[in-house]
Amino acid sequence: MTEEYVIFFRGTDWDRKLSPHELQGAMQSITSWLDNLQATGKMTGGKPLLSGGKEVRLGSVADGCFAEAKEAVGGFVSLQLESLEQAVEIASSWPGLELGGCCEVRQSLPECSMVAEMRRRENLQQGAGHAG
Amino acid sequence: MPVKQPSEGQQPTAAALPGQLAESLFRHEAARLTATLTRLLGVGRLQQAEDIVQEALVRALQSWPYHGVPENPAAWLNRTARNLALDALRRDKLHHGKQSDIVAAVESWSPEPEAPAADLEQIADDRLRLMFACCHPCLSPESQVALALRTLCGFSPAEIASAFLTTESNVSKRLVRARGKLREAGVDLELPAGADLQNRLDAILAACYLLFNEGYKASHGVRPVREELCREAIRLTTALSEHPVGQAPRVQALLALMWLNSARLPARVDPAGQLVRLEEQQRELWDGELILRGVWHLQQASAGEQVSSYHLQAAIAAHHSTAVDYAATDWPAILRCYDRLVALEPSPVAALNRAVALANVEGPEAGLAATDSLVRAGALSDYYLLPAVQADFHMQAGRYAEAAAFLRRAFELTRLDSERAFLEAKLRFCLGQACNADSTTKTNPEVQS
Repeated sequence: MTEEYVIFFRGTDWDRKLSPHELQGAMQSITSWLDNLQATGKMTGGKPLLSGGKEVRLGSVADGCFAEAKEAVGGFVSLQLESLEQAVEIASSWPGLELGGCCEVRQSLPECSMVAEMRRRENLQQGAGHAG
Repeated sequence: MPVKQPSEGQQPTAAALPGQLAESLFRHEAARLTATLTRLLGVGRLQQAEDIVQEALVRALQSWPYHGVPENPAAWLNRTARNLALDALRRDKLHHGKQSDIVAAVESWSPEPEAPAADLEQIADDRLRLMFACCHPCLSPESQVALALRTLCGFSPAEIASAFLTTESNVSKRLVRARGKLREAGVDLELPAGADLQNRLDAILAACYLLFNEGYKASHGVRPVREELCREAIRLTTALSEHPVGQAPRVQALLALMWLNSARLPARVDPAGQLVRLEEQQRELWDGELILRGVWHLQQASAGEQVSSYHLQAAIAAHHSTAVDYAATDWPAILRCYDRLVALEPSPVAALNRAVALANVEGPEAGLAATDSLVRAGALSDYYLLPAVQADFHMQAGRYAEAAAFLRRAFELTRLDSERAFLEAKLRFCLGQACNADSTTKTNPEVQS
């Protein structure tokens, strides 16, 4: 039984100080890190995020103060994994750590079991309908 | 034997294998984009050009792992840098007057850099103009080299610092000052012409020579970035030699010198990272291709009347590189080159090298007479190689106790572990010989002090 975990890559300032050569090295190692997650069937999604953006509050919209910040999220991947421990282990192997980035590991909240059961029945019925 | 120009495919900055990025793709693309952006934005905005390039590379780091490496990475970076430049210009309200011209220039920048000849020519031209700006006489030679490494070779301040054994913050400060000076002096990207061209060309050659030597002399095998300095020096000098303004024999002579010395790099450091002296180098490790390339450039350099110090140094390197073994070295020819070199550009280091050549031709006593006159002139008093060479001469003359004294002096003057290990081994040998022979030679009181 697997659950979905999301790893958020935080810190959008660490790559600003790297040299072109180091950036290329980081790009290549992060690429093979993601490729490996994909190849082993764990990865269910993910996106890089541009820095900047807007911060929206009740009655105000401001430029994101999270540009190039230590805490800002620069991207994420979602993974189907056995356990939080496994998610932490994978996050610990993210090559960005050595270069000054950090990650946040979160489990996505599964559906409540009753809703899941209803959806399952609905799907079964639809499937039967199509078959007939 | 006629020497053909070696093919370009053997350049050390070789292209990537299919499906694999060239190892220095980001560095060289950074340099190319910085040169183009500096043309579009002006030398006064060099910092902004560098920042835009950095941001474009960061975008690649963020995007490519998810979306895959684009089919044409250079075009992707080009497009991204162009868009970032336009964004920055639109945000920037400071330069109202010329702003619209600059925006128009950036907009006309083709986002695809793969267009043939004309574009390549433009790229080469941009690089040359930036090279002249970086080596502008308003900057010190050290600042010229630092700025060239930053903008023309894509090195970070930390990488420059490690190459020149200084701190990152020193390099950053030096770069800020250098960019400021260029801005204040109103340095533009005009290519110099006429009498000015020759002086400005000399400045570029001097910077490339300094860059190469920095990589060459300190090849300890522990800092691979230093060999990289040699490669970059060759890249810049080659770019100069291929441009109309660089059509001068001394440019070819400097290239010859660089290739010939590079050819010996593989034999200069042993597996333990220790420097290996010329006489002990395994000549089969020398790169024959590079020697041929050096000799070819030396032939190109012989067009015209002018004999520069680069010509003479390259000729010396060629004599060493083409000798089948150390004993076969044509020392009389090398001595003639040193005689002319010392006459052309008197320098104590050249005089010391001349003394070595002289000793090989006329014997150790002649060599010692030459080093003695250096000592009398007070030259190189802190340079460990002077006593090390004097020690060699005494060893050749069989005076091991004297040699040992000079070796101790040399040992005190160097901090490099590889040099110290080398001197120590020699010293142990000399002390052993001195004991065995129960030397009757009186020790030199001057040296004992």
